[in-house]
Amino acid sequence: MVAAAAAAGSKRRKTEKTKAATAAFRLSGGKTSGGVKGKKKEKRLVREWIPRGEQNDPFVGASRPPEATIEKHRRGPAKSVGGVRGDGERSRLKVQEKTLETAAEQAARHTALVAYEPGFIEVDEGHESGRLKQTDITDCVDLASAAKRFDLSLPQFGPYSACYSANGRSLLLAGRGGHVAAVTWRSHKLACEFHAGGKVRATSWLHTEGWFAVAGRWLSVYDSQGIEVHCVKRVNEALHLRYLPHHFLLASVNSRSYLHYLDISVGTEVANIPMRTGRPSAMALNPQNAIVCVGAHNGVVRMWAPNCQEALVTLLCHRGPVRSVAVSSGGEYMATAGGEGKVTLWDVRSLSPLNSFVIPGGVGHLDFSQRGLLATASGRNVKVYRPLASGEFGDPYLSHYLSTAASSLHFCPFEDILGVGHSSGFSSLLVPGAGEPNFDALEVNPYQSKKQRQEWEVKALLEKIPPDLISLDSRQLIRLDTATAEQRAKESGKVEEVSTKIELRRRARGRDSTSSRQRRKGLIRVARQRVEIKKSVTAASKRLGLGAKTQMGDGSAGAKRLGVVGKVGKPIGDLQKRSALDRFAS
Amino acid sequence: MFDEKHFHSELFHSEHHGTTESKPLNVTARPPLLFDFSDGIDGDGQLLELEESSGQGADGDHDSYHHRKLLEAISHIDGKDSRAVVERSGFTGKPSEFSVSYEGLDEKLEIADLLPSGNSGGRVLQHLQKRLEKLVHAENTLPAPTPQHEVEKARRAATYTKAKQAVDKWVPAVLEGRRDVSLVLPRGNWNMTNDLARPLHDVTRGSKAKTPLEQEVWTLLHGTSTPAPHSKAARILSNAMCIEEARARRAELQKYRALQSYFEAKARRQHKIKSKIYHRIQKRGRVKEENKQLEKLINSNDPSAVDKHFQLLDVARIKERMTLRHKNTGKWAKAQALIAKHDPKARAELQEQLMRSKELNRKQLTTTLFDDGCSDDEIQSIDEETKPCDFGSSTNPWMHTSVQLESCATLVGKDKKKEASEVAEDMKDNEELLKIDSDDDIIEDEQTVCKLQVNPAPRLAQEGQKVFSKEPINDFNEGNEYCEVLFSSCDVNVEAFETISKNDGIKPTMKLSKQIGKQNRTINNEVQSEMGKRKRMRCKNKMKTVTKNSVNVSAKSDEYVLEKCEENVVPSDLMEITTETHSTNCKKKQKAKAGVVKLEHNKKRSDLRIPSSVVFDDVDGEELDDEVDLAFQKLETVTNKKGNTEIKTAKRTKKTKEKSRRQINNKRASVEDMERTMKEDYALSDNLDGEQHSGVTHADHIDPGQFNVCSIFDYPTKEHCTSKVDHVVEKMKAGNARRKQVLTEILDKDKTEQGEGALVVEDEWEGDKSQRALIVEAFSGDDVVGDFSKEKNAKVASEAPQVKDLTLPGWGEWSGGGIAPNPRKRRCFTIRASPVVPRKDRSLPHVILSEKRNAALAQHQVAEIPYPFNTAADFEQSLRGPLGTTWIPSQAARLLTQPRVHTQMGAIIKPMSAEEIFGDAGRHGD
Repeated sequence: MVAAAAAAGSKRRKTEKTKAATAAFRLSGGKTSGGVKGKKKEKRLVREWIPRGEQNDPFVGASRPPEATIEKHRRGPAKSVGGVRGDGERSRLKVQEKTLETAAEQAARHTALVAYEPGFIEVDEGHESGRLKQTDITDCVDLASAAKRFDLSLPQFGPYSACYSANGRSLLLAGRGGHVAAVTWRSHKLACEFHAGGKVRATSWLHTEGWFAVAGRWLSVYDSQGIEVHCVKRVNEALHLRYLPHHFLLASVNSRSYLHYLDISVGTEVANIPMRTGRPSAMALNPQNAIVCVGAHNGVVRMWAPNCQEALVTLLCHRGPVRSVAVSSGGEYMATAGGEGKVTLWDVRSLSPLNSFVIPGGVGHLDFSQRGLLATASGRNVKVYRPLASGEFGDPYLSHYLSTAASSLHFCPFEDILGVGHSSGFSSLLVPGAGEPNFDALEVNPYQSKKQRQEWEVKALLEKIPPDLISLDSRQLIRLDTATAEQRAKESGKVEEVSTKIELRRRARGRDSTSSRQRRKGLIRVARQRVEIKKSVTAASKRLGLGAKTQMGDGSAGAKRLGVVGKVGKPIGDLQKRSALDRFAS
Repeated sequence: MFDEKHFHSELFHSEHHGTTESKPLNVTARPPLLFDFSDGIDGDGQLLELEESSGQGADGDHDSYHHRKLLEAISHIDGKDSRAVVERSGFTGKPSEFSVSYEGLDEKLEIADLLPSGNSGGRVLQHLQKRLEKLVHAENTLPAPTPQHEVEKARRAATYTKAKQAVDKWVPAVLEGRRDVSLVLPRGNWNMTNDLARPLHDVTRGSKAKTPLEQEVWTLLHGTSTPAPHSKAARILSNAMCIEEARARRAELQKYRALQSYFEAKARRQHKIKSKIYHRIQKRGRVKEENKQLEKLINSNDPSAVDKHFQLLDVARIKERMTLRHKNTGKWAKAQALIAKHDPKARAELQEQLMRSKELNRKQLTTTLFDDGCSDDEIQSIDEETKPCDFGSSTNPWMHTSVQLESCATLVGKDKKKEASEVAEDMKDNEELLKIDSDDDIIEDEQTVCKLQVNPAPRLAQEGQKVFSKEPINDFNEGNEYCEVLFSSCDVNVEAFETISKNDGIKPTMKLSKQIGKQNRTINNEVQSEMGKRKRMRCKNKMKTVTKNSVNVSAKSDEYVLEKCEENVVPSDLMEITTETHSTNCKKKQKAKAGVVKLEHNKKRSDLRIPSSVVFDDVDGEELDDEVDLAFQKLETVTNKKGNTEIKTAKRTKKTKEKSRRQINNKRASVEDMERTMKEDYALSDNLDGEQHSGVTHADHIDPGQFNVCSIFDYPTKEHCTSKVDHVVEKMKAGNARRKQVLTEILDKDKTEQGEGALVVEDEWEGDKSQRALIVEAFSGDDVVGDFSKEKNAKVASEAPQVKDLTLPGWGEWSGGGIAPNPRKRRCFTIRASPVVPRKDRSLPHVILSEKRNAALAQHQVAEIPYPFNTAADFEQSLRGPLGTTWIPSQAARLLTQPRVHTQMGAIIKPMSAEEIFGDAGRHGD
């Protein structure tokens, strides 16, 4: 027995030896074997780089990330493909499922590369972070960060609204009095500054920092030099502007309660929806599904999409007028501020209120940061809350007292900064933990070079999502449409071909003879023809711009242009003749 | 072998002789061979026979010659026929007419020649002939040749089989190609899938991570954690064992298997024994053994073993507690009983468990009583009070004699849980307040026990939820109204507490508690008066009675009262009084039903009546009074029947009277405070008439709760009371709408006031009433809730499927005044409404969801389930993951979007070759 064990041991040792040898070979590659052959072999063998210290790594293959992380990256649970027809298809779907799982695993593994962990201010016990002043924060942080806290005194054209570009690099300031300035705020460099020549109600950056829209009397589009490039007179008296980045749409609401969608990539009007809600008091964009939320004076927030003439959701939020609306970056939560002084947090998915609290004097402005902090401005008080997943607000996370009343709030993307526009200028406040510390450089890159921007622009245009796809449920597109073919044909404008088969009802007592059936069939055929002709004539007259008035038979002018007029000017045929059955037509 | 010459000569011969030789021809003559497969055994056999027959012929010729000679001689014997019969037997060149050459004698003679023709041979010959024929047929006839088409068919079948075999061997290869996610052409040149699976940088840039950062990243991404075997061979080796080892292991296993079977057999045998005594003895032995073990364990100084044992016991206890049994029969309980002599704690724990069991097993009276059928969703006991008697151990559950009727808050709807928690908080607040106050009060020791008996908050919450649950979906307006009422009453509550805190220290606890109780009751009444409009009232009470001996009686009577409550909807005051009086009764150990004691008291009867009539603002007060009286009479009779005579009024002690009077005095004292709060409330709602502004106690402008107390002294007559109550109710009604509006706008949810903001709110709001009023004014015109519900109702109505009636009166029948169209015709011409699809927003009163189809999006959706899928779910499942590099890692994206066929530019794609698929064997095969 001992001998056998020894033999086994020696065998084992042998294999280890060979293993070690191969590892060394794999590591050293072509060094051990020279010549052409050796080189070839090296190419085949050395696929991956093995660190020097781990030549005899007892662990093989990549480590599996924690299950919780993988679960976060999974897109729903995998199901069996047993119900799928076809041998090949089934096996291919199985492979697809496996690949999706691999994708989740890989994505989870790559989270290790996410360098920065988000954090918030932590104060000692017995202290409250809400009582901290901005100076306290600037004293603690590094110089570069402290420099981000600044105030701009612009007393002349206030109150100012502030808007950061998508990558957070540029800041657009617009005073109600008409002063517009684009600033690269990190370097405090002014890109352009001008007076719009009238009241400015809203501003918005477009797809890049090179363009921005200003809503005064009309909507004007400026480039980064401050040159007015377009003036869209169709959009007038706009009160709020929101830009839908993936759809290249600029949504605006005006004082006459029209919601207008402008495609800025091709310059066409996508939709102009009469909301019929009175002067809109607030507007927000749900970044997750590109739904626009508009608040009204009667405490109602309505959610709109460009392809639907009625509000998708009408939500009674407050008893007073809605003063401000904000939607979180993930699209899960919505915060609304009402005229009665309440701020309510809503779960957008279930459309149910999560929590609410009262702020004396009411809240005029709200904004969500990328990491879910909620900033509120009531008069000169600016407070930042940290709503929990349960909807609890808790004590204010930070608060700041401005010199004048706040007129806008905007968190800077990818920065721990809250930009506050107020009556006499602009304040940049430090809010640690507000911005997303990790960015996807292919998506939005705060450190974009010119070349990268150009490339991104082309790519973004290629990936532009048509406005048709905007819906409350962003996964609606992958669902099967259960409508009937008839309904679909009707919607798509393709008129379903009338089935040529004529089915007659059976008649009793000898009245169902062949000749009678033939006669009846003939009648139906003629009636159908008649309808077809009527339709085509109507369509033709519409096409020629004769309007609804001059439809077939009503005036000879339309008929003349259609070329269906006889010598005397009377329409050919019996088009004008009315049938006794016509009264059933409508 | 085949004698061709002979064959031909015979053929010729037979031809020559024409008539006779058809059968021999059959024997010898063979059809020309068509197929090569016809040179079978049959043909060979025939040939052999032919040979044989020719050999025999040579011998036979000689015999026949002699035979002929013999025949000649015989024929010459009689001498009659001189002429020799010459028979021609062969063919010659010159046949003579008379004589025949004998050359042909050598030739073969056929058997048939021997037979006489015609009937000369007789029967025997015929018979022979037949037999001969038969013989000839049986042995020598060849089967008929296979028809041509059959042959063709056979040939085709053979060809098909061969071809099938040749093709079939390719099937696995083809199927594999089909199953593959992608096909790489030319085959085997390029390991596409491997390349795809590799990260891009690996494919493009060789494999070296050069910089330290790159190396670190590589380690991060590809670092390993799972130990893997070195190789397959090594794994096998390492797992292998030597033969001795294996044998030993096998023997061991066998042994265990045998042992197991013995035990099984034994257990089976024992199990079959029916004797109870046997089992009893067994069990006793087992228990004794266990106990011994335990004793041993406890006595032994091995803490770890003891710990282990207790851990096991704990597990047993956890398991038992999961079943909610809490008996003393479990493993843990028994062990605990044993340990009890060593450890006094164990005893307490066991008792605690028993108490819990008792608690859990107690009948949930309240749930059944207050359950109105629609609120059975979630029943939660919010508060429970236990009041141990003076004697006996307080920890021993078996010594408890009190029957506790718990209050139950029926919470309906999961989303309302939050409210419940708030309510609990409120309650806590109340209690705390009381505790603080009780520190500095000295009056009446026995009454210090008195607690806030009726807490409005849980009741409110409960009622609100009940209403919510009951509310039909379309009845949105009513729901809102109720909400508003609820909110308004909460507001009142808050203010009441404020006044209490102002008077802190001045009033004794009893007064305070009374006041709060009153206040709460008032609120309750308010709410109920609102509710009364809709005839939806529930009263939920916390009742506590302590009767020492007459457990059953009191329980029953309580039930009875509660039943009456159900039927008549008696307001909470009844219960309140019951509970109020109980403490005094308890003290004196009177076995009296509290409510009944009160019942006898005239003044208090009026007291009872009034709130009830207040509640039923649209029901006749007198009727109600009668009902209440009846209820109490019944109650009385019940208690009397039980023989509990002590509860009669006649036997009431003087002391009891004094107590009750004191209570009444307290009530009176609290009136003033309540007035003040109510006044504030009314002032807030801007509903004060000219006569309602004074702080004087006057029935005209007081709250029902207040009125309640006043009436005890000032307006003892029933008629007067009811009239006054009506007046108050009218006032309330008048101010109702306005109040509602104002309060709801200001306070939606008082619970939302929390944290720092909340404090500020209270200060500022309360301090600056003018601002509040300003806001109230600003939105006074808006009925936001009402407008919204109107909008929603209109929307729902417009989108509901509608019936179309296309009947033309007078079509085919007479019509005119008084003539209704034929119902049958009407039915014919009525287009029925499509079935109602439930709206998505049916359970969300504050939401209108558009039911409109998104036609624009539908144009991009898939309309029919595509090929390999059978169900929509399967199809949607297959689409659930994104494919683009924006959402998933590029490697996975590449794998998911790889084309079905990979080709290499410039490479010739040859058809599959057998060599390639089957190797060398394939090459030889084809």
